[in-house]
Amino acid sequence: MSTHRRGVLKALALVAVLVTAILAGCTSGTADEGAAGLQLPNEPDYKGYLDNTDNYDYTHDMRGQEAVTIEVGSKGNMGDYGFGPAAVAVSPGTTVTWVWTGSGGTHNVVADEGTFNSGPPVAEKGTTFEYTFDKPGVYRYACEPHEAMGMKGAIFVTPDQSGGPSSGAGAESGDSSGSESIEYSVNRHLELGHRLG
Amino acid sequence: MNAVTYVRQNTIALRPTLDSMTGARLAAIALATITGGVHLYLYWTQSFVPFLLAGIGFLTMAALVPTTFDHRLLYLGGIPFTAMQVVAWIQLGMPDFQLGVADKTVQLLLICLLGYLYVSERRNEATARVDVETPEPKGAIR
Ligand SMILES: [Cu+2]
Repeated sequence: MSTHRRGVLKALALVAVLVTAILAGCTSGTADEGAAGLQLPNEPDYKGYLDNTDNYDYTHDMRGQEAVTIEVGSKGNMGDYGFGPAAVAVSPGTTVTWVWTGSGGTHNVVADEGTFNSGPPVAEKGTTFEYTFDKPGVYRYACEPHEAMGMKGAIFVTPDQSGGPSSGAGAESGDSSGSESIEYSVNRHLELGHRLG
Repeated sequence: MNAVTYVRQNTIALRPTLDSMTGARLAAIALATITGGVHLYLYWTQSFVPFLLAGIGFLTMAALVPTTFDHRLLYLGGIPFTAMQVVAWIQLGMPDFQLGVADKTVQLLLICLLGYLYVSERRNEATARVDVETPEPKGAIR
């Protein structure tokens, strides 16, 4: 290899490193979910709905909390086009509040089955929309302006405190037996163990 | 003109010039600067890399008008580049609807203007070439 060509390659490598550094600088920072929940033992089946949602990592377990916050316009889908986190698991009766970050242009929150709808898209930082999920089930929703780009999310409402959608009895029926609270506290201990360990 | 000379003329030998600056060329600079600015703003607020590329593209287009750059290439390249932006916006679900409509109006005007510039400047060039190559015969009967 001639020295000239080596020099060109070196220059190209330098450019590549610089571009990577700049891109990394742009994408890091903002929008780490506040109370990032742990993963469920069994991931709910969203039937491919979140297949093109690149910020969907797993269903964040936020069961047992009365209020849960989701960012609208967090990093994802090649820009600020994400719900953060994209998928969460909550207990029935939980109020979910979507909070606009002010990034990514205009957004809204619209359930695909019409259960909830924040109205016309808006951009203003600090805008909020809330909905209380009483009925167990899987709620899929999207931001209309960015749905094609993958700005979608899901709320998995489950009375089951022990695990995922198919772990044990009571997952679908929603009965609240005495054992459930015990199970729940055990689960909590395990969670703490996870966090500390 | 061989390829090397051509590339040279449009890259390192490029120089600014206000020769043949017309109202239509000024309008093209204005439109490309507007949509370029809009896209840099969108990149700033939405971090979507294609916005950055489009912004740089349009500002480069505007900057190349008052230079010795091959204008035919500029116009012929600018038309599909701009048309792609319109198509992409529709395909992505027309996000930022109001700003989008305004921006796409600017872009459609720019496409028309680039087409007009291409045709009119080619016609002028052809006329100029004819003038040079076949000077009016002297003493011809009118
Ligand atoms: Cu959106």
